[in-house]
Amino acid sequence: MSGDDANTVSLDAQGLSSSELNAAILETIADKVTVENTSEATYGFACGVRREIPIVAQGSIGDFAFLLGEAAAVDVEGDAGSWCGHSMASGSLVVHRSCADYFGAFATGGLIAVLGHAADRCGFRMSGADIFVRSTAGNEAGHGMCDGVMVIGNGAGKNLGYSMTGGTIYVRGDVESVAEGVRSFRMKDADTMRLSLLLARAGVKGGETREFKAYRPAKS
Amino acid sequence: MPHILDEFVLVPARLPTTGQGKSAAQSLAVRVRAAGREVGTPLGLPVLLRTTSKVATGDDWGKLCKLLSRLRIPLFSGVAEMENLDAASVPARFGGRVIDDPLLPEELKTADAFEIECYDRAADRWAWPREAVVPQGLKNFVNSVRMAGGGDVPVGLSIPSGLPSEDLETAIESTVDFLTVSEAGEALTPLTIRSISEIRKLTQIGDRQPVQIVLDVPLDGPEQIAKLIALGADIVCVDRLIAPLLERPKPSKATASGMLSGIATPASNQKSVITDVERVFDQIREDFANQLRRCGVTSVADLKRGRLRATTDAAARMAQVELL
Repeated sequence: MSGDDANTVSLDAQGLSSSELNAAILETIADKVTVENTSEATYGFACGVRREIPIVAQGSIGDFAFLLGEAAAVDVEGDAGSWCGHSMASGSLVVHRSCADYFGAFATGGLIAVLGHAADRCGFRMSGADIFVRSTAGNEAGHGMCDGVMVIGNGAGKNLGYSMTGGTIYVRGDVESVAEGVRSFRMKDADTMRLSLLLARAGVKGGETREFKAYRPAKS
Repeated sequence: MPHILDEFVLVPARLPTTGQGKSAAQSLAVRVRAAGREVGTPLGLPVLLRTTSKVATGDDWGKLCKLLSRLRIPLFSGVAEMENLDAASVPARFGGRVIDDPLLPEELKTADAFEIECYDRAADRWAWPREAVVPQGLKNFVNSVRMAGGGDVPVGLSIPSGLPSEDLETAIESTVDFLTVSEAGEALTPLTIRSISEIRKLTQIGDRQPVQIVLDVPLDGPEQIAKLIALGADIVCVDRLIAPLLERPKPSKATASGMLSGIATPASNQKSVITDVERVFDQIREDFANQLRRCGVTSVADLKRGRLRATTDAAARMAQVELL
């Protein structure tokens, strides 16, 4: 463990189990935590963290990152596994490359962003978070979603919004198929505003909102 | 009606004595474990309530919780059901999560134990949690929930009795602290007895951590609890022993105050449901203590399979105990 400056603590994941690493993150008192040598075997990264602190994984991570997370700003410089952001309540999780299935599943708040591709069932049963996928999303994006906003920057796979009961999915680009009971709506001023704000939060500058379509349950 | 536990008897033995010739003190308490460590307050008895809800209990909920808190008997409950109770009335709480529901921070943070239910309510059948679909998914999920709870909240899975060995191994290898084995229906069957034996056998393979077994099965009476503990359970759910008391019609306000025309109902005849529930727990305690005493055991931990004998070959094979 070393301090780059007075306020940042650097941890080394090498040789630590996922439990040991997570305990070290939770116990660290600092203004920022950076973790080097994370890998796909590192599961549960920063899960259960509930304080306002930036935490940076300087590599890829495995499944269940930031599960039940609150308040913290988690940054993953590589890829992320499945179920990242599971039941996240607030704070932010940003993955700089791509993520596996069930990204942002059950999330109730906060910002969950992936700057590459999201695999299947991103936003599964989420109920209040904001999810941003810069590139493509796989099949059944927004499966069972009941609230919150999802933005997909470059197209989605099959069955967009499967079993969706609320919330909005904004998509730019082609959608392979839209689930039954979900349809596209004309973008209104409120949609444009919401989309712009989310793009800004995700760090996307100059995002052109006119190219997006809004998808919601047909009866909403 | 014959009961499967009638085929087992606890073998009488003398109680150990202290150096001064007095019988050793008895302890009926058990502790739940998290990652192999005993955590939290000890349970007053190896029993808990799993399916008794605020909805079913109605106005008696606060009094029931106060009684359970005093007796140190936990119950499964959502955290919202504990709101508006004063501190002295809050019993130990086992929280839980069903398949395809979110985990809730306040449910896990304030729980004394946390159960991941392997039951798909939409399909009305048992199923692994969806998180198990990825390789090592169940184990990583259980460990992530444990980490999110700070490491001191025991994490368990609920499974039905009668699962094949492969599924029991999957459950054990997920490194859960406890398994809740449940059996629906009116009567205990060999499925539960075999499940307990199989879980105990599998946890002895390699360097697996011991797993506590919580049984939620049909019970006819308090006398069966000691046999289930001896067979390998750690905690037995006793909802079915008190459910009839909670479900019986309660006196209406009119009859309670004697206002029903033509019928005077003295207030002294009005029975408190909670008083009867307390009597049941007293009976459980007395019966359990007597059975331990009779088979020469002073603590729940010492009530093991070696104290049991089977009265039939089939029972002996089923439970892997000696024939009487």
